Amino acid sequence: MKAPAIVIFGFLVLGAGSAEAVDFIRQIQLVNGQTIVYDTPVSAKSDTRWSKPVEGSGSVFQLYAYKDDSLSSLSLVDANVGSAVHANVSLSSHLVNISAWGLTIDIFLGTPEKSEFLPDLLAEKMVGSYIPEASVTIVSQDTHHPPRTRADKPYGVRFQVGKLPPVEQQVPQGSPRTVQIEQSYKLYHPTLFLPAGNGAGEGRYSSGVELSKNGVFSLPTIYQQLPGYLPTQGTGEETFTAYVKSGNTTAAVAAATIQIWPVANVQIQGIPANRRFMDIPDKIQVEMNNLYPDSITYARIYKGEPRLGAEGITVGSSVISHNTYAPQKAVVPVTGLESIVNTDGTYTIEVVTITPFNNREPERLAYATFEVDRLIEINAATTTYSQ
Amino acid sequence: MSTAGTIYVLITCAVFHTVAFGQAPAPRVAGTGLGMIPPNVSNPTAEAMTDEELQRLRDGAVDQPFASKPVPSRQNSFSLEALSSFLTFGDRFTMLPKGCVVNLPAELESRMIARPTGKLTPWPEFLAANRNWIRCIDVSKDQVMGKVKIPDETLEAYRKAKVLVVACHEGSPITVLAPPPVASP
Repeated sequence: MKAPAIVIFGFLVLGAGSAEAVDFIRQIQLVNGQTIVYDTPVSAKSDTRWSKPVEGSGSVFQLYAYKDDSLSSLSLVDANVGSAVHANVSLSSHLVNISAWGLTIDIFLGTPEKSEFLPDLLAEKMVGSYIPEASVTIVSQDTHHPPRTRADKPYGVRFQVGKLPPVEQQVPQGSPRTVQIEQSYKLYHPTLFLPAGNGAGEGRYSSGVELSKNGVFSLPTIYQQLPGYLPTQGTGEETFTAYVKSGNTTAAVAAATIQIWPVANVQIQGIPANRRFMDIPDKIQVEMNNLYPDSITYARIYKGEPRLGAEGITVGSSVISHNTYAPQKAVVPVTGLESIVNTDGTYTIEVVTITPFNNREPERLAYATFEVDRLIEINAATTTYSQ
Repeated sequence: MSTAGTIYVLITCAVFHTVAFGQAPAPRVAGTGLGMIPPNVSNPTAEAMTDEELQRLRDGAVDQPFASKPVPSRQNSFSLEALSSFLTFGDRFTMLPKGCVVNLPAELESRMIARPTGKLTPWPEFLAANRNWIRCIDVSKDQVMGKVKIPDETLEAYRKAKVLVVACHEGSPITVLAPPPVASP
C-alpha cells in the first residue's frame, strides 16, 4: 500500500558549542488525523539526516531556529527543504542555509539571546507521495543573495509546480489537487532594520493565486506593497509561500523571501536658500540616511543652475561606499571646493548614489544651489565741508 | 611611412586589447574617498523616485495578483506550542513532543507545564540531570502508531516507582498514539 502524503514538521533549536542550546529536528506525521511528533537531535553545524519513513496520511517538515548573536543581524534564511525545492525564510533576519530531506544542514546559529524564548519557525514543507512539489524563486535587479531590492524597484517571482495529479487521475481522498500561493510580509523597525520578533508587523495579503496545473508561472514585475510605510520608505520583507491542503491540514511546500530596503534620503546642510555668499560656504555637509546596503554615495558640484546629467566634479571628501547587509547612515563634509569654485556665480551641489539599480548609473538624491559673489559694491555719496 | 603605419596598427591593437579583455569589475569595497568611485562613472541619469511617482507606477502595474489589503497572518496548523509538551524542574525546562509521556504520576503533574518558563535545556541534558524522576522506554513503530499497546506490565513497574516515563524511538522522544478503543464484545 502506498504511503499516503506525509506532513513533517521539523523544529530546529540550534546552537553551536553551547550547553544551553541544542539542535534538533522535529518530524510530525499525521496518522488518521492524529499527529506523531518525533524529535531527532542534530549534533553538528553541518549534518545529514535521513528522514524516517513512516506511514501516515501526511508529513510536514518545519524548521525552527534561534537567533545568533555572532551573525550579522540581517541575513536571510535559505532553507532547501526537499529535493529541488528552495524555501527562503527569514528568521528574525538571520542567515541559515539548510537543505533538508536528506536533511543536510549548514547552520550558523549560536546561543539564543534569551533562552526562555522558543525558537522561530524557519521553514515548513509538506512532503509525500500525493503531495505536489513546488519551488519559488525570486529575482531582483540586485543580484545579491539572499534576494533584496529597493522599495521603488520591482522584482520578479517564478513558481514551479510539479506532481499535481491530472484531472482524470484517481488519488486518495483529501489529496491536494491545487497549490495555493500566498504572499505575506514582515515589517522591519525603521532604524534597527529587524522585525519585532513577537508577531507585530506581520501579516499577509488577502488575495493570492491558485495553481492547478504543473508547470511554471512567472510574475516578472512585482511591486512591494509593505503596509505602514510611505511607498519609497518600505522596510521589511515579503515572502511567497506555496501551500497545499491535505485533508484538514494546510502546510507549505515551498517559500521564498525578499528583503526590501528604503530609498536613500539625504539633506545638504549649510546652504541656506537664497543666500549669497562672499566666499565659498564653509560648513557644507551632507546628512545621509538609509543608504542602500550596496551603494556609493557622493556629492558633486558644477557651475550653473541644477540640471540632471550635468558634467560635474566629484567632491572627494564626501564619497562613501558601502557593501553590507543593511541600510547605512553617514554625515560627510563637503570641503576642498576652493579649487573648483574659483569664479563668482551660481553653483549647484548634487548628492548622487550608485546602486545595483539604474544599471549602476548614479541617481540624484538631492541638490542645492548657492551663489558666490566676492565683489562688494558700495553705493555712497561723499560730501566735503570747508570751514 | 610604413613605420608610421605599423605604429598605428599597434595602437589600435592595444586599444582593442583593453576593450576585449577588460578588467573584471573590482569587488565592491566599503570606504571613503575618491578611490571608491568606479572608473568611467557617468553623470547622473535618473532622479530618486518620489512617493507619488511610485504609487502611480504601482497602481498602473499589470499582473499584480497579490496586490491587496493586508490581513492577519495565517494560523499555523501545527504550531510549536500546540505540538510540544514542556517539562520543568527548578528554573529549567525542556521541550518534548506532545504525547510522548506515557506515565505521569500525580505527584509529578506540576512538572509538566503548558507554557515554558525559565531556561530552555536540551532534552539529553535535562534527562541526565533529572534521572531520578524521568525514565525513557523504547517503543516500537507499531506502538507509536497505536496499533499495539505498550504492555501494562512494563508500565506497572514505573507506576509503582512514581517516575515519569517518556517514550523514545531509537533514542529520541516520540509521540505514542493511543490504541483504538477495544470494541466491546
